[in-house]
Amino acid sequence: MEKEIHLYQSEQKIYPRDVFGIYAKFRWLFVWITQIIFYGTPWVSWGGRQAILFDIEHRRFYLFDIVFYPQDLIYLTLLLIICAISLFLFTAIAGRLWCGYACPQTVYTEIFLWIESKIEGNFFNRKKLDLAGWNIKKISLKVLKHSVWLFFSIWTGITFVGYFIDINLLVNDLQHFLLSGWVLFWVIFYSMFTYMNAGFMREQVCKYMCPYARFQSAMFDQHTLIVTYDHYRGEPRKISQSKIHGDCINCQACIQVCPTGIDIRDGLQYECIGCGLCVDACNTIMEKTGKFKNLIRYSTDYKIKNKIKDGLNYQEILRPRILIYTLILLSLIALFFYFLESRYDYKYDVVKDRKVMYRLDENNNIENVYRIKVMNASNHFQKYHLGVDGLFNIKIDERSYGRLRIELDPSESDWFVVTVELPNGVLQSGNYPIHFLLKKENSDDIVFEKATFLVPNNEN
Amino acid sequence: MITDFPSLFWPITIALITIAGILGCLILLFLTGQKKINSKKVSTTHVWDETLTEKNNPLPKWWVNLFIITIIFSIVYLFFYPGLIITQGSYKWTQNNQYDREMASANEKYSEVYKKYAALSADDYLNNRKAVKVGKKLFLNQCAECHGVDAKGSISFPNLTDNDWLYGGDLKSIRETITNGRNGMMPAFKQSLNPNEVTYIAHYVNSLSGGEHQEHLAYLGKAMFKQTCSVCHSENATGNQIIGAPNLTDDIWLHGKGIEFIMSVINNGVVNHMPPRNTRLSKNEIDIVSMYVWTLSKANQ
Repeated sequence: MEKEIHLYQSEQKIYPRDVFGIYAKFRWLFVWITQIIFYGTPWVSWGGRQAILFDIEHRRFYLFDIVFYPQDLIYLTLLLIICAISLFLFTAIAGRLWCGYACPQTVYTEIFLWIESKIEGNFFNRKKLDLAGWNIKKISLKVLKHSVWLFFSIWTGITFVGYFIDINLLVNDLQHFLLSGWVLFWVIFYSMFTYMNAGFMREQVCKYMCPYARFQSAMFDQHTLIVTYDHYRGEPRKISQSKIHGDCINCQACIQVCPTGIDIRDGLQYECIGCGLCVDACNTIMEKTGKFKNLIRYSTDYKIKNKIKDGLNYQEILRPRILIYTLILLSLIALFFYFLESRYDYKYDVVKDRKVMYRLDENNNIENVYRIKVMNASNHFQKYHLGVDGLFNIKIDERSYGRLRIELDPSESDWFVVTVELPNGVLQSGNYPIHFLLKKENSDDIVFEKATFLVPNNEN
Repeated sequence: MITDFPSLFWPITIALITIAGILGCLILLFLTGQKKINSKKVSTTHVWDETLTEKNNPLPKWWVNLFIITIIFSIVYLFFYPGLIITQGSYKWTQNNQYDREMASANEKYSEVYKKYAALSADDYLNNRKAVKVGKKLFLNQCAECHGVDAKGSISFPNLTDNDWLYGGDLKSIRETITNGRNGMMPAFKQSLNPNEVTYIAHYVNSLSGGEHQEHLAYLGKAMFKQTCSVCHSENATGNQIIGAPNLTDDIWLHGKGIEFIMSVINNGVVNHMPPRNTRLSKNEIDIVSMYVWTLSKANQ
């Protein structure tokens, strides 16, 4: 069939048929788990405030008892690297688990499709409705569907913004129509994003936008678990009234249920999100026709090609790629917890004053001046004591120390100025390494910070 | 802004390139939208790694629509903002007026805080940690450049943590100093005093704070000091805070110490200047920073 096509084409809307089976159930289980976590988390409070809150405006990330600051970027970095490596690992073992079951795009499409099917009927009726002319019934069904979609989307938008702004305040403001400016913008933005992506874009996002889908091939090998069609068993598929054919009766069920609209019998394609719905669909048919199940199944390229029985194969799982990913993942997790464990709930920086290099006071002491920024990263008011060490007879100028009451509220940080003095004439001129010690009151915690003490030429 | 360019060449070039770019995109989209290919020949004939062929799949229509939306966005943007440089844009945006707007909103926000702390009495201020923090911030931003972050000054910049004040250390005087600044002026006496007289006076002045001196020279200098210097520095050399004449009897030397140095000051005079801060700070801010400076010497008593 030869025809002229344009370089740009409107995509055909896909009407996936309802599926029943183990993977469809599994998918819904994940919908529930991910959505309960997503919608529930912002409402959890912990010690008088939201348990998980990424307060961008005040640059504080609250994760239960821990408060992260911009200086803690290393933890976030490590956490994201851990997530990325886990994704690599799961992908190498079991293919696109994320895409098929947990990705918001998949999950929301599933929810929106469910709403659509409840209102407009099954895949056949939906298609018929779309092709039909406009009448009262069609208009009312469409209005109803989009209203439910929009309601759900706005709820999603509010929940999402609730991770960044106190959700109780947010909902309160919303009830009294006080939302404005950027908060309102982001609520609407994320609502519309959900509405567009889950309602209209659907598989287009996976096919054309998602980068993860495209670098899959770098993580796949012949031992990766994928949804495959056993063509040795299925082919030649049944065509019209042919007497001799394989197990595939060419019923199209696998194509009808596919949320991305592909034919899995063509082999592995980048559009396949590995959701396993075609497995369910095919198994239902196989059962009806009295054939063995799993003509389409989760298997590996290697097993299908070499006609190896399915099931756990340790040689396949424990291949070098998996072992290396696992090793990297475990060491990163260990590193993360080590960092977290050795983290103090206060920190400070020492900056030598750039204006006054050194100074002689009236008692013939050399003075160096430092600015110290102390930050209280704990959840309560805290006092600290500063000391200096590293040179004989070095000490903090009593008079500056008198003004150096280092007391900070939770999450507060402040600059303190300290004058350090050393008797003149003891040391030759030069730069000497010293260190400060900051001790938390009523605790054994001491944090050291390096600094330099400058001794001038001692000619006068 | 167009005025930032020395000639019209660059603004016009930039405007032309921008407009040509937008139009070019539109024309390209239109032309490729007209083109048709045979559905059988979807392969582009590009082959890699022996078997990998690149196919010519049609681009989704919505992607093209996104492209058109960006073009519409750019036109709207150019209408509001001075993106073409030769036009000002209906929004009349400039870096400067955005800066002014942000400063105005910040001032509005912080003036409340300043108002609250400026209303405190000096003693309450001293014990209010947050108020001291605000004062310290202002001091570090506005005063530390000369007086040092620890406020102990350096040569020619007075130490603010001791109890020696040129113009008075009470709150009112400090506030006046910060608001209107000070101009200290010690006149040159090269013309009116002969070198011997200068030497005598220098020895006398240095003797007042127990510095090295020769007794008989200092004795000669004492009478001349009364005659010439006491007008400003007072009879007993303890200075005069009204005109900012320093106390010469303590061992605190603003510009330098030693007989040689004192002689050069008497000969050549010295001028010192504290700039007024009322151009940079609001009245409330000045009140807060005055109290902060006041507490600096208070803490050492």
